[in-house]
Amino acid sequence: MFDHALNTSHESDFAHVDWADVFVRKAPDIEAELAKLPDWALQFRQQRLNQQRAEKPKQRALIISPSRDGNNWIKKDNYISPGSGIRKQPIAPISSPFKYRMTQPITRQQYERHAVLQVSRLLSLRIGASPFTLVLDDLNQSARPLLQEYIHRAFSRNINVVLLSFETKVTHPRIRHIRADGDVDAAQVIASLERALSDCHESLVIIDSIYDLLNNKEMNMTHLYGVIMQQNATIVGVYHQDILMSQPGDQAYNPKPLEWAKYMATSIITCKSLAHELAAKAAKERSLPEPSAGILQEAEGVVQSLAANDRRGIVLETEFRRKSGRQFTEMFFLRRARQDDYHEPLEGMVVGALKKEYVILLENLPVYKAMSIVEDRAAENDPVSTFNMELSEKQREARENVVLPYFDAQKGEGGEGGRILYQMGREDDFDEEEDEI
Amino acid sequence: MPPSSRIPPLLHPYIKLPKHDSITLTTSVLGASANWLLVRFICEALSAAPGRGVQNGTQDGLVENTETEGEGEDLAVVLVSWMREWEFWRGEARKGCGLDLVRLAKEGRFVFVDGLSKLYLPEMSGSSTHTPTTVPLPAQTILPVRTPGRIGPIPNRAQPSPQPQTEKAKDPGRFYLTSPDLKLLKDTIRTAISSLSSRKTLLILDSPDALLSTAASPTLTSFTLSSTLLALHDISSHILIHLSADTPLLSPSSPPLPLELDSQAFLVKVAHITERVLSCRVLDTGVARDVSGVLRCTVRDGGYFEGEGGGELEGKEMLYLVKGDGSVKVFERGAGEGH
Repeated sequence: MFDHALNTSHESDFAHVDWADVFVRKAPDIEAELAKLPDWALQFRQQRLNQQRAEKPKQRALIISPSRDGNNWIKKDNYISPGSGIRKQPIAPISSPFKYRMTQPITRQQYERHAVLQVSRLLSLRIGASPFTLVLDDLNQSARPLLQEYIHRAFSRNINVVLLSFETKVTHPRIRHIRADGDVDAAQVIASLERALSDCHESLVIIDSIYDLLNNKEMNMTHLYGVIMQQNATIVGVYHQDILMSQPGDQAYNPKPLEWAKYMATSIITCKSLAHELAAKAAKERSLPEPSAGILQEAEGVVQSLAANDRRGIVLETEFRRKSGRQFTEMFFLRRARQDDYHEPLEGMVVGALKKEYVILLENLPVYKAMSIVEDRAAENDPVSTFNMELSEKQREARENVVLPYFDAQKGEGGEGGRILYQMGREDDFDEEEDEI
Repeated sequence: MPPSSRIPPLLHPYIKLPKHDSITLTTSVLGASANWLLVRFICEALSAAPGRGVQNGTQDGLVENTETEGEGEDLAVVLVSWMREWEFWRGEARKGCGLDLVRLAKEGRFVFVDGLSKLYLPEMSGSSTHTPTTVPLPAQTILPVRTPGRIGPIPNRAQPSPQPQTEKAKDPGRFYLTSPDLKLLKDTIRTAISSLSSRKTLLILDSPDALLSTAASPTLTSFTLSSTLLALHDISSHILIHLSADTPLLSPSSPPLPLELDSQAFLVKVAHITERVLSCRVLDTGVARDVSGVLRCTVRDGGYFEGEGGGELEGKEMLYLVKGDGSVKVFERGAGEGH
């Protein structure tokens, strides 16, 4: 092919040759031909190969999650200083660094690591992890702890945080706050958003209430989406699931805002209270109906469940949507951030780099794993009597170790043709005349 | 008796206003009103001022002492009520907490914005008489709509052109809303706050959800109401909002009615905005002689960044008993009168 390309090389034909392909591919006959090549061609090849080598370790580095020294964690020069003008920095190609060859992780540990890594990328706002994350919350579990976590990590990575709010009066001075609750219209919101995003390479846009934005501001979401994506920003939008909404008659056939947002989202996080999840698990294990909580669920006049907004942490039911269209859902537990989770902040930053990832699978949460909840509930429901009907730990163990008779029948070798399996014991008095088979 | 001792100790942490600006939601149902709770909030806010206003007065036999706690900030109260008139609140405050609202209003620490009498009630001939006037009225004033047996065209409740400047009565510290217009509401409250002497204010909105049901205006929706709430939060550091949480208002029938949708959306939206929800309801097990109702307090961490949160208060459920003399007893379950 190479010979052919050279032999038929009229000037017009060169335009059609994919030079990168020709020079870089390591075909065995090309190796032989290399000696004959002119110097400029050799140089070009070498240059291309070097470029490829330089790109590779960069991709590998992305996979390493929180780094110890903060080199990869903190965005360098994210904020463009006013004097320097807009620098033309090429926007990094949005591509997942993960190329999964296997469809299923082989072991449990691998699966867990993979899942935690996914959610960690989401929370740490890695480019391409999820451009539009939809957060669904209700009065039982507000999305605030999750948003706090997002903001914390964004600050820790030196990412610009913009809050488009309908529900907040004032926030931290480092957060760029756009009030949208008043009489501002969609165009003004977009304009101030563009201003807030313009001087940064990477930003996080938090929308306080997607419903209000879509319905009451009549925002064209596609337009907003375009503006934000252009600036290489990530959107985290909160939707309060429990607010009933009215759809005017003339829009009766339009998709509902929630469906619309769900359709657009690249990840969906549903916030749940830990206490409710524990109660639901306990009920499930006892085959009871799942307890319901929330507005008017318990009694008239109840607005919020007492177990709402558990202080220990927040349960995140996360749906990741891959580009291939596949999705996978997993439950995670995010505890409250502590001071020692982050390094000392560098100069000019609010939060230091993250030390170690602390999002875990809900199944790995000790409280959730422990069976004690079930037993406690069981004890509550038992009839009161003077007998001790509880088993001690030792008794329970002994009971579990008893091998029931006819257990062998469930194995492969037993039970063919209705044959009776019986091993003679010492005490069996076998009488041949009596037991003729 | 110092005013703060009128607040039961169990309730006090939930009534005490936080250091940062806050919005608190109180809900009630028909059988369990939250007026006593609102009065406790007024009491707490007004008694927090160090050595100001409240003196050893003996007017009307009330005994008030100077609150010497010290750290409290100088707070003033604006009470906007769409459900009850001035006389009611004056009586409640006196009975429940020994506060003399008339005197506090004169001192510039309390303002009452009446959203009821000029908006919905027929014109009174005098403040003391309760019989509606039957004499022919001048053309400009509102006709008495609720006079029984009256036949004729129903007058328009909203005045043709809502005056931006509120009508100020002869007694200080009282404002009237003459239209359900939200802009007028904002202006009135702004004027009311500027008439106060304190830097920080507690704005109490009693039943603004009544506007949703009475003002049939297409511009008045749950969204405009909640954004008005935030706009008011800009001019007032603390807001206490009281809404009703009865089932018929919140659970939609099928097909859902606009009022149900709006009330539910407004209540839930406000609950999402606030950090603290105090809801009164009747006892689940039925009526009891020594329990008036159940008070549930739930608190969440409200800020977006660390240090903005609302402290380490835990959610709690308590029982309360409002006695005939206006005093309130708050106790844990199983710790009632008989124990």
